[in-house]
Amino acid sequence: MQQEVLRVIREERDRGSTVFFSSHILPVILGIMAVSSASRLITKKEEDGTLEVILAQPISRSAVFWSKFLGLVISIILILVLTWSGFAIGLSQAETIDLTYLELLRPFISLFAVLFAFLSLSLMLGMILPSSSAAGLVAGFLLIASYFVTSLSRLNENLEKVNSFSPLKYYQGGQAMSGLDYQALGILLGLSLVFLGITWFFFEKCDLRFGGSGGLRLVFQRNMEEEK
Amino acid sequence: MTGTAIQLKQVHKYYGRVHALRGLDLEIQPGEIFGFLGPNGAGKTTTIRCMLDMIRPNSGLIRIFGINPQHNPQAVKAKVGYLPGDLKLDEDFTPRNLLKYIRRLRGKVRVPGRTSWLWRRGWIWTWIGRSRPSPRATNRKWDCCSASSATSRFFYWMSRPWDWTL
Repeated sequence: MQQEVLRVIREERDRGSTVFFSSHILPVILGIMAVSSASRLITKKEEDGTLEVILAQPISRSAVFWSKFLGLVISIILILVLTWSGFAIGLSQAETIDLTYLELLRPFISLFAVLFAFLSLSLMLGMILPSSSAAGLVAGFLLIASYFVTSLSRLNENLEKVNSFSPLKYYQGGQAMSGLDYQALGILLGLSLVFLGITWFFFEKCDLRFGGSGGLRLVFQRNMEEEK
Repeated sequence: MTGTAIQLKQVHKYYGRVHALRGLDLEIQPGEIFGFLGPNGAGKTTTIRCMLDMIRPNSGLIRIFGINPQHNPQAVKAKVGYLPGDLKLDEDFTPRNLLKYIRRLRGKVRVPGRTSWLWRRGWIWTWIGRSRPSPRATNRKWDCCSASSATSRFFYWMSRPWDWTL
């Protein structure tokens, strides 16, 4: 089969076509990294007790949350920029590929949107589930499930309804080179914002969990009433 | 604002079905040195965490210098140097890095030269300039102790200080 694919590629190339591989494997690989980092970002600090030292200082929970989140997002953007740079260097050396750097950038924007969604999901699970490892496991499972559902939905139309709930459905891959689907980007961004809002709310309103006191964090402590 | 430094009235805290704080009343005046003692599970750490808004009581009133920690936790924490009993720090913190880190978080923290100003005072032996983190947990507590004491002129809350002598 590999030989057959190679033969088709060579034929297309000899005809003067430009051949690109578009796969959902890149978001899965980078997604696992994002999910793993996000699930540990705050919850792990709670579990090992280092968050207690940080929050003993006069800084708000929101400041801790958003600074950690921004740090993770920036690191993911850096990874994507580095990857894009590698492709861009290759593009600058190639004489037969008729692509601009902007066209090359578009799939990475789509990829970032997918990673952002999974990252936010993982953060949210970390806030709700009893431990960072449980959150990482569930988020990783959802990522892999999303990959299979999206891939198999091309073969089986019955899966198309389920596929609507899969974030990877909205990943454009190589198709983004010819133009970004802003609706898909909007859906991913909207999902991410919902997940992030829930995560921030939980972190802001709930008790911190100190080493080993983890449980499902679904009960909010109401603010104390002023005593008259 | 009253003249009371710490004021707790009928503070209740539940962990699920466990009633950890059962109507705690406490008043500490400025200048008072107060030993907050009790057996394991008595709720000492829970009380301190409630006062710092790390956890929230189910009912009751807490005021630190008249400030409600739930409404303005930063103002309370700016007045308090808190050293957790089960102190955990990132593994790569040297004493100097720790002080720099705390200074970034709250400012007004002196990061001394190669030898500690605390060392010169003669009451903490930690060598601030060493390049590696303290290998022993007790030493790391002293590192954090110096950071905490350098941050606050008002309060210094230490949880389980007897652990440090081990």
